[in-house]
Amino acid sequence: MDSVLSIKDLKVVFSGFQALKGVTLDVGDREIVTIIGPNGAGKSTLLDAIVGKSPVAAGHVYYHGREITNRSPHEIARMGLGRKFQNPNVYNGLTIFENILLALKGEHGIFSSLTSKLTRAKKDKIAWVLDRIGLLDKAYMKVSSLSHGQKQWVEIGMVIAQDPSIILLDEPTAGMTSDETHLTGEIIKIISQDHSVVVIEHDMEFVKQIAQRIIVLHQGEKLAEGTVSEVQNNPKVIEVYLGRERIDVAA
Amino acid sequence: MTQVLEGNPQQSKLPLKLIITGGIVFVLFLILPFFLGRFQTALMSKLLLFGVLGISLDLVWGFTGILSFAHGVFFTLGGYAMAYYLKLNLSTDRNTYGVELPDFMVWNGLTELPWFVAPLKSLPIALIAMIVVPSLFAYIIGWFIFRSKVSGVYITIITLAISSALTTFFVSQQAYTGGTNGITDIATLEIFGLELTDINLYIVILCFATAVLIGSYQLTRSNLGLILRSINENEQRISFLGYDVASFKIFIWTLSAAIAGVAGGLFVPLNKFISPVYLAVAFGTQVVIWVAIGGRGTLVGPVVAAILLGQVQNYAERVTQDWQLVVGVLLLVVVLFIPDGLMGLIPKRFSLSSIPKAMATSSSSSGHIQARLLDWLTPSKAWVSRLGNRIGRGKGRDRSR
Amino acid sequence: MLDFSLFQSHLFYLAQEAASDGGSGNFYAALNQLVNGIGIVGILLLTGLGLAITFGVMRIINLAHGEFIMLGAYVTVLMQEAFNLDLVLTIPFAFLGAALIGALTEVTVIRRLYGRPLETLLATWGLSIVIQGIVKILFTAQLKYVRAPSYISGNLTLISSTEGNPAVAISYYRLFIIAIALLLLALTTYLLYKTPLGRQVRAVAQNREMSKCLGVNTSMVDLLTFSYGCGLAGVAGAVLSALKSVSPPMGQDYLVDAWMVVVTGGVDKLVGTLAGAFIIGESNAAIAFFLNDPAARVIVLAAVIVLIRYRPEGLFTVQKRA
Repeated sequence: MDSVLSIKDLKVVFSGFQALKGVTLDVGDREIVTIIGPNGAGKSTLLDAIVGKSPVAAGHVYYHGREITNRSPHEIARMGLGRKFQNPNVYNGLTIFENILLALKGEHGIFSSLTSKLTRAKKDKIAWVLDRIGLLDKAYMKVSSLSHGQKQWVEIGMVIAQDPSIILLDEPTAGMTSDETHLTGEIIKIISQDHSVVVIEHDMEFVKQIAQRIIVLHQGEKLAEGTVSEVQNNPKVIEVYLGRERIDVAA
Repeated sequence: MTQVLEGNPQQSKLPLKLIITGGIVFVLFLILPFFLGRFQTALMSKLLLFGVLGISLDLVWGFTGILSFAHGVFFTLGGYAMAYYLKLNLSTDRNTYGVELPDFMVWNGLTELPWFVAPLKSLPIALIAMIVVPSLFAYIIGWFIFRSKVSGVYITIITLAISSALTTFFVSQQAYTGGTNGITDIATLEIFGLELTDINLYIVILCFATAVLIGSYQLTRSNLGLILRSINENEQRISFLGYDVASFKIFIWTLSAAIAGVAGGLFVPLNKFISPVYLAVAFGTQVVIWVAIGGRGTLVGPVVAAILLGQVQNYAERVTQDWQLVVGVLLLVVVLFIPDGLMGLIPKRFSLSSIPKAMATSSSSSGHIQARLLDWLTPSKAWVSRLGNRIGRGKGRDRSR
Repeated sequence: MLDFSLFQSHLFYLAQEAASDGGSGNFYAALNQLVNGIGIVGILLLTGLGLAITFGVMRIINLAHGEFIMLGAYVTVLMQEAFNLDLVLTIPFAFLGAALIGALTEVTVIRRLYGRPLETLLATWGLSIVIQGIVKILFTAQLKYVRAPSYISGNLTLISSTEGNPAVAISYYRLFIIAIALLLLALTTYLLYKTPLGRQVRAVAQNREMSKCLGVNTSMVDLLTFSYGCGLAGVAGAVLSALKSVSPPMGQDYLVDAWMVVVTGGVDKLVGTLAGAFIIGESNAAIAFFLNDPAARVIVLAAVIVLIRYRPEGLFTVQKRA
């Protein structure tokens, strides 16, 4: 089987607290996998563990069949995993152009960064990314002057510029208006034509817009897996969500 | 195909305005010693070297966000390399004891040159040591501390400890380092038969300072500069973009130590001695002050601050013994009201080429500083009025002890 | 041209003192050195306590800590010169004096910089220069001497040699220092953990915004905490003033050591400060016994650097969730 990302029985422990209690998960080529679950289910921790931000206590992470468990973040990133964080984690002091430039694939060494020139090809690539996230006309603006939603897009743009084979998005629509959310969904669909995508999301409307396969996490464990309707009709999922935040089945 | 991006303010060519102004300033500095006395020429040489030391700290602090009190240490290590060379090449008739061995070694009962000092008799080796010793020392420290979860203020505390430990060490190794007095009574530096004194030395130092300034400027405008500024703003994010943050930090840290080392090496023929005074925390702090007052992340700022403060001190010390107090007040004022330093005071329209800065506090003009002053005053007023209500509780605490 | 006073440790002098009054046998000398180490521990604890408050609780990098110690010492000098007061009686005044000036700096400088540790570090260094400068103007740079009360002078003989001479001894003044340090440690622990105010202080330290929402007057808590930390430094100054001469730059001697103590012990619990002082003081004495004083200092500093590298949170801190 040729999954891009394959997670086997992953456990993460924070000073005695088991944040992930053995999660197994596969992401196929150019597939969109959506992870949902209540707060504290371990969604962000799962992404943290994959990209080397949180130490893995037990279990394995394979990327294209190669083990990447507990490798350092920059090594994992260079292999082709891109991560977008929950709050827009962008460089406010830099321009949008510079943010994307930093993220561009290749040239991560010291000496190459000293000598590297801004070639036509790089500029074109940046323009292509900026066009995709709809910020081409603002290329030389400082990120600090953008709205929250626009910052989210800048970070999505950074992840695209990395040209990873798998993109991990942590609540990409947080703080966006419904129009912006919809647009983000369309961006993700376009991205998934070339990349595998893992999305953490709360907004069920948005999940339905993009989802192919949904995974429900609950208290550090996988509760259910399947299509939107399968998950919505899963009695275990209904039980967990009842009284908290009803999954909107209507529409 | 997508649209095309036009223009790029970040990596465009050097602005003509900057080249012309820079050239004029260089020429002015070049002819300066012909109008100055020997004392002023030497003073300006020294202040230029201090400025270079400031630039080297600015690279790691202003751009990369690592505040170091150990740059005086790198400076002094380079200085000792040069001082050994000059001491060993003192003609025998000028040596008090008429022997090869430096006087302080004789006093402390050494009978032959220690193996690590002997090679420094040759100029090429001394010049190499001047660069390699401080940068190797910095590399080891950098490798040790940057490849760990230690960051921020803990790095700064480590640099304090390094400076303190090395001072003690050099003072205690009297036989090898000359102890508290350091290495004094040294020869004049001579390169290709040319004696480097007064104006000659000044011009060498001026060229060195110019080269460092231009090199650092180019470095900060390159992609590397962009990466360093990103590390300053958020070092975790950039590691998820595939950059090995530690190796970048180690690189700039080592490079800056090498620059500091050369500055220290050139300082010795000028200063005529080197001693643990320059290893101590107080000198390391002085460097931090030049950068803070001149303006972090400006490169030129530390040079301007070093020259300005040095000159003012030169005159102030004839009037008052309390010059350091002025420096302290200045530092406080800068930290509280002018975080961009003196260079931040220059109005935007006169600025030649602003190196893009990573710090969030950017637009600083006199209006901005006024606002900060008001900010500073306002809470105090509110606080004073509130104090009346709370005073009972405040007193209760003091009684309780 | 530039006026840099050499940065040296008071531990130098203490250890030298220890070496000179070493007893007869090697064994006694070693014991004496250990006992002297305890004396150093007392000094370290006393100087570290204030920092444990300002840095440990408030996360303020206070490089002017040494100057508050110096201020305390000058209060004692002043009190003795003006009223011929007993050193022990000047301690409360030293506390109040240092605390008052601490409060002043908190209001004018420190509180503008909360959440910006490096700026605070710079500002407190500026403060340290300013305080030194002002004291120098007011009291001149001349060394001042303080009289220790006669009832705590002399030595307590722990072991006598066969001829009846003291072989292992500790001065009463050292014991006095240790007693004061432990007393302050106990008092501070009590204030911090057993009083409502202490609870507020810890609440603000952990979550400033939330504490604000819960109705804690955070700016008053900050003010009191910082002043208290400075007051403790003042007490240290008063007590230590009799050990050496009092001069404007004297605080610098204590700064680096106080920091090492706090960093070694970790700032989670005050006990960490005691442990840090003990480890640094005793290992200093022990290494000095086998090698020499500068070597001891260099080795201890190097060890602390290695410690920070591997455990920046200190030895006695529970690791928290990332």
